[in-house]
Amino acid sequence: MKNGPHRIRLLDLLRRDGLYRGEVELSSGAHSNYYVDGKMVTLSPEGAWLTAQLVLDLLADEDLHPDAIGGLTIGADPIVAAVACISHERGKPIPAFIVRQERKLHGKQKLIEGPLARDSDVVIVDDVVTKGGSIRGAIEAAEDFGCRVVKVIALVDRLEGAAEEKLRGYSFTSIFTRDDLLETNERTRAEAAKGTLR
Amino acid sequence: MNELEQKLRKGLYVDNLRELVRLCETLMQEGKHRVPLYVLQSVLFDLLQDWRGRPQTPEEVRTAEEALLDPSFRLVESLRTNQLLEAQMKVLDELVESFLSLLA
Repeated sequence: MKNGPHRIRLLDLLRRDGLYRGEVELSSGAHSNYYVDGKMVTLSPEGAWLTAQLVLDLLADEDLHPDAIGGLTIGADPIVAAVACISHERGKPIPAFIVRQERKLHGKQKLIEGPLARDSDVVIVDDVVTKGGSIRGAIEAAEDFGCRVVKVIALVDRLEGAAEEKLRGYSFTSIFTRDDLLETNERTRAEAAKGTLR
Repeated sequence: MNELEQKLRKGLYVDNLRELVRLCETLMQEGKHRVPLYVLQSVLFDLLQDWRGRPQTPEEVRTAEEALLDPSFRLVESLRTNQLLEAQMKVLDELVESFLSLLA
């Protein structure tokens, strides 16, 4: 993605408010020494606005005109709501929808909430993608509903194989990767240690 | 029951909890041990609900596994060997007690 002022500012917010250090166990069972809480940014007024601008810019750059944008609750909720809102402001409204997490009983429950019509072209988003299992679940729910997934977007890709495995065959773009978040932090620390940080 | 035991041996993490919940559902729909499996599924699903969307510390996972895996394995064994209902109820009670203690 182009590194304009919106992207630079959103990266600052993610580093400041969404990045945590410390050993954690991820949903896949793998251990990690950092964690990205995208909701700390996408639920902030500035973060929500910036995220929506960047998602809409990305769609415009790729000349995509989806009928709706959605994703798996909870990570995608603030993103799709912000995109719907800003898309209205831009004069090209894109309705949002939310895919529920699975429940205990698998049957005829309604998984999709919102004004989504069957046979729509949709974009699927998530805040953070690791192996891609969650976002893949949202893709399958949309496809089961009768929609075509024309684009998959993540705010942050942890670069742990999602693009190569679960999202293989889909047009996938992340606004940031793990490297965007971590490398500068490492550089900042190294510069601070050397006394060269301005 | 073998598959349930194998999945439990993989440990308690979100993706595996999701698979365990689905497997309990499948077994129940096949008409096997519906009541005990419903209780086990409820415990695992409540844990999944609590953990989903956030990472767990290794200590948090270890504590949950120490509390829940042993009674879960004993429950599976009691179902596999068709133990008396009273024995199954005792293990189920221990499982639920451990889960409630975990949440406290």
